[in-house]
Amino acid sequence: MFFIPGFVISALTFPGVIVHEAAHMLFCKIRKVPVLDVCFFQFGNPAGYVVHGEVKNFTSMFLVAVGPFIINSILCVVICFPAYFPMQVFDVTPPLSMFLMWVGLSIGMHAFPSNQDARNLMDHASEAARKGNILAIVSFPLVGLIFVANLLTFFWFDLIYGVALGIGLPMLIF
Amino acid sequence: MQHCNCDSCHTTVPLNDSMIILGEHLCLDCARKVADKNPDLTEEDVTRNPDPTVCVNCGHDGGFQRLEQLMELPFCGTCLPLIGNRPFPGWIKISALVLAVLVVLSLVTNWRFIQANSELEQVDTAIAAGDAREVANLFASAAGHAPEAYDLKIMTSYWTGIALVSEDRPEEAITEFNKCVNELPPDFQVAEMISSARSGAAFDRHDYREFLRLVEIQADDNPRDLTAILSVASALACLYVDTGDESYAHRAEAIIDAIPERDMDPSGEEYLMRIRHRLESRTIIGSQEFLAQYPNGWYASGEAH
Repeated sequence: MFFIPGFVISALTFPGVIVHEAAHMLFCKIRKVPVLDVCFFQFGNPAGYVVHGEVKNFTSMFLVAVGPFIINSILCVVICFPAYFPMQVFDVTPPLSMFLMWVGLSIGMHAFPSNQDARNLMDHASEAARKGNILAIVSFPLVGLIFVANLLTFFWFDLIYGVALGIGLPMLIF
Repeated sequence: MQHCNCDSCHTTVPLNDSMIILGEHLCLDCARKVADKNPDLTEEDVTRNPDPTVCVNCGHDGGFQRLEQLMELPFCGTCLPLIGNRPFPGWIKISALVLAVLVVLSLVTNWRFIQANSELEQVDTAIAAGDAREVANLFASAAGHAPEAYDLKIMTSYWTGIALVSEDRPEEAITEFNKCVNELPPDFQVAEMISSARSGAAFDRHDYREFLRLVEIQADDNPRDLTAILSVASALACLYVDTGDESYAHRAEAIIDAIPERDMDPSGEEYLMRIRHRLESRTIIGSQEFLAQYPNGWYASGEAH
């Protein structure tokens, strides 16, 4: 397996890190969760973070945690779409399309919430599930999926997911 | 600003410059020494002691006044609403805007590729319908939308050649097929297409000996190809009409008689009909003219149909 240190991957795909953190922050703002500190990108581990205040309910917690998955996935498809046709169908590589393909795939690669996000979600889900919150119960397998996905990043699962969204999806549709 | 006394060195320091380690209030210097001596300290052993009169975000000193708290942290009146609804930095907003503009720009400039792709998706339907002209038109239109895609130009020439052959314009077809030489995989049989178009051109020029020579080569190369075999019979029938030499007619009939009934298909039957018409009427007409004259087919006198 071809191994590249995480910080190098983060640096090469920094638009994805920025969008990931921006998505966390966006959902914090939408759900009125105070944002104490935010770093959209840095060379190091973690490559970015959002420190937010206490979350009042589980729905807010869920949205803040999985926000990047929603936003990054949508943006990956939208940004890659116009670049897909010249590059994948006609083997033509206009610079703008190449740039957008890189941005789109980078964003797609960082769609999965981090293990820390998953842990936060799980902590709150346990309590909410005891109170019968359906979303909390549903989120347990999701947390498992997040952990598995992050484990599989060693096998380039994050890149595979980005490519599947940015290239595979339009290939399937068109 | 509030102060406290260090339990170790007993100096007075600002509360924010102190820590609580293992229950003792310590200045930062003493805290560092204690931490060095106790490497096994856990997160629970060390806590900060935020000054309730100093804003943790901007450092604003409220004097003796305790500031409002958020998550047990003091914030000044300016920072509190900012933390509660922190705005995105300007560069994030500008980057998002630039990206949106680039996506739209890319969509506009690449729209022609999407159109070309849409035309290519219709090609299979046109091929299934046997409409070579429509296939050629679709490739030509796609090539117009995506001129950078060289393959599309070649495919346009290839299918235009096929369309021209089907329209009895073999000379023009040769020109188109020649553009495809060494450009397409062997499956496309470009050499065979050129050979077939040349034989058609020879027929059009009434050069029936050349016509026979070319179709005999094709039949030798494709001994199981019904059209190739019938083309030899067709050329012999032409030579019979042209020269009056009965031996050509006999050879043509021998070829026709040798074709097993089971190998015949509708297009072969139509071709056979033309050859028989040629032998019996001793006139040579092309496929288009034949179809115009005999839309319901031609049958020899006494032949069941």
